[in-house]
Amino acid sequence: MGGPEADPRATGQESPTAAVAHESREEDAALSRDPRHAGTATWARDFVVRQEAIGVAVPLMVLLAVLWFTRPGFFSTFSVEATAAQAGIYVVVGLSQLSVLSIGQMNLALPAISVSSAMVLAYLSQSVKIPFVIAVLATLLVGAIMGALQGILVAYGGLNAFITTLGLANLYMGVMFLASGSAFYPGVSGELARLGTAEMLSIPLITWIAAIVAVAVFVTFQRTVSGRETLAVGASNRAALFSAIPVRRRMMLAHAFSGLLAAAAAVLAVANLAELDTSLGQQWLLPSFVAPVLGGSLLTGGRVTVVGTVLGGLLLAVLQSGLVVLGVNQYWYQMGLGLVLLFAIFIGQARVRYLMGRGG
Amino acid sequence: MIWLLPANIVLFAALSLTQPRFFSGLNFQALLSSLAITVAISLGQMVVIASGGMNISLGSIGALGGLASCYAMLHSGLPLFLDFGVGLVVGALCGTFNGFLVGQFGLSAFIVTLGSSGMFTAIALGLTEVQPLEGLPGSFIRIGVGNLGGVPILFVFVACSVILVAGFMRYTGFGRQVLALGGNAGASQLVGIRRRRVLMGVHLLSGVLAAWAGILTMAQLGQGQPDIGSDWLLGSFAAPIIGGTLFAGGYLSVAGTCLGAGLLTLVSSGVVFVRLNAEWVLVLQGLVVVCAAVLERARLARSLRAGRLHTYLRMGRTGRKPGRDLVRT
Repeated sequence: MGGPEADPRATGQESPTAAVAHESREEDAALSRDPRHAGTATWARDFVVRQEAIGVAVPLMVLLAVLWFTRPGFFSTFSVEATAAQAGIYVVVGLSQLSVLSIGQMNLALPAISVSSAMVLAYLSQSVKIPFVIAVLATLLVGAIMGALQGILVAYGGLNAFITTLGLANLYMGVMFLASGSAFYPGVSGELARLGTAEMLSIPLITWIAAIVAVAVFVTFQRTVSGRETLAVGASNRAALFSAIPVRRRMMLAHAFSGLLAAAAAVLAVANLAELDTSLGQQWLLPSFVAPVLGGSLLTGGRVTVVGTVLGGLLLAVLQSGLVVLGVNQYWYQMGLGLVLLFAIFIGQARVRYLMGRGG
Repeated sequence: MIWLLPANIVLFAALSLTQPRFFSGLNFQALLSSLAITVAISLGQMVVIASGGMNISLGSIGALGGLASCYAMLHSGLPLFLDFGVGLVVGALCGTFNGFLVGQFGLSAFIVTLGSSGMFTAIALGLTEVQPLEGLPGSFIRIGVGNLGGVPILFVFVACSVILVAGFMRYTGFGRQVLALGGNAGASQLVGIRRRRVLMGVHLLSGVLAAWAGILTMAQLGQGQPDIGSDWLLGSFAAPIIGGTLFAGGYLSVAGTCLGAGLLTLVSSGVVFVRLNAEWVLVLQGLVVVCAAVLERARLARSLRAGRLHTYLRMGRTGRKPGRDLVRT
């Protein structure tokens, strides 16, 4: 900022006071473009937009408000518990996809891994009759191995994640159906059923478990070296490579972790439903993307929000239960999901554009 | 993909020699019918992949378009080919919806079509209450199961559409623009290709082709089944990718897609003949897709390692060695 001499409007003498006042006005103008010096209204607007979860918090609040005024019965204990359990499942499903979104890829084999894990669990807990905890751990391990397999192909084989997970999804489903020999497992083992109905402080145990998982994922991405490195890989493969981050290992582990979480979601779902329903996991592909994307995670990787995914899972459950309570046809749930996903993407884009313009 | 033709021949020969009933006119007709449907499904996906995107809602649009046609056949007084037109128009509308969101707002094609697939499925299932439309006219059903000089009518229809699509992508300006956009979006825009227009158009085309496949599937089924298309995802991607269409876009191979579809058809038919469990189809088809991706990757790596940097760069974009044309039909 030049002195009065540099001011093209200074034709003649300008009193020094006026010149200084003029100069400081220009500085004020420049400062107001700087987000740090914005006025309160602008700051508030910036704060709201900067919250990644805004895309999900608003629809969620709107939906809850609508339900509160039109169907207060939705907030009965039973209904809230059922919704909370379903929310927990959707949260874990969303976190499974989040794990892969963090490196900028997608896991289309998520439904297949979930269904396969559910079958493994049913087989282990009912046919082989091994202790419940061992069965669950084995199921999680199977999920992790499935995820690791696709992770190896993608990270070390350099294959495209989309195609690989698409092909493996079918492979897993086929192998699982062959191995199970279309055996039918009605009902679930005692412990699993108890898991489904247990609750603590009138919140289902399933929801508590999901909350713990969410906290674990949050801590992993926020505080651990491997988590931060994974995010770095998602942000920029090359930069991560040059920063001595084991890129391929992180990619493979992200896929393995996704498989693990998919299996966990399946365990929770089977416990919640108290029976093995193989069609359950197959509908999870769309919700698995809606929860993270709605929450504000980027599809391109590098930036994830666990809080947003949790809220997204909650929204999905409220949407599903709410539509039932409102007496709407179940098909409109799919419609709602699609609309919500598109809405979330829009909001995400608008947010990014706004923040880029503000220099934030 | 040079190995596709021998692979098809070998598999066909193996099945013919080991399974006596495989080499029969009746089976050939069944094979050609199945092949026709697979190719029809892949066409819609192939063109979008070439533009650098994808269409997850292919199956849903197929269901909607097919249902629209069936509904028109049952309730409007229009001649058959106009009923087809109704379905294709519905497909075009769905495709335009996708193309608008992708082109205008620059949203990821994956997410847009993932969301729209849920919406279209909901419409299809909701409007029909999951009840199939029955009582379709005989002329329509004849298309699905009838033959023309020993060749299934379905095959003839699809063959014509394949030739049309191939010619369109190769010989029209728009087709070339799609491939240019898929090959290098930035460069194509610098050259003056209108990204929005091309994306809108290619998604529209994909919608029309999806509806076309949906109508033909319903002809084969003999009724307006609203839940078709849910298993189209793998098939629609597998055939083009196996056939050499680059997932990143910029290059497609219609012949490759047809041969890839042929391989998948032979695999599923072979499983039936060898009397394996039906689930083996899933396993084998999944394996074929993964293997195709591996082979393509190996080709890429080999060209890089051999120091053929120009091939690597070229393949990375177009998958062809330098000197070959962009679109091979």
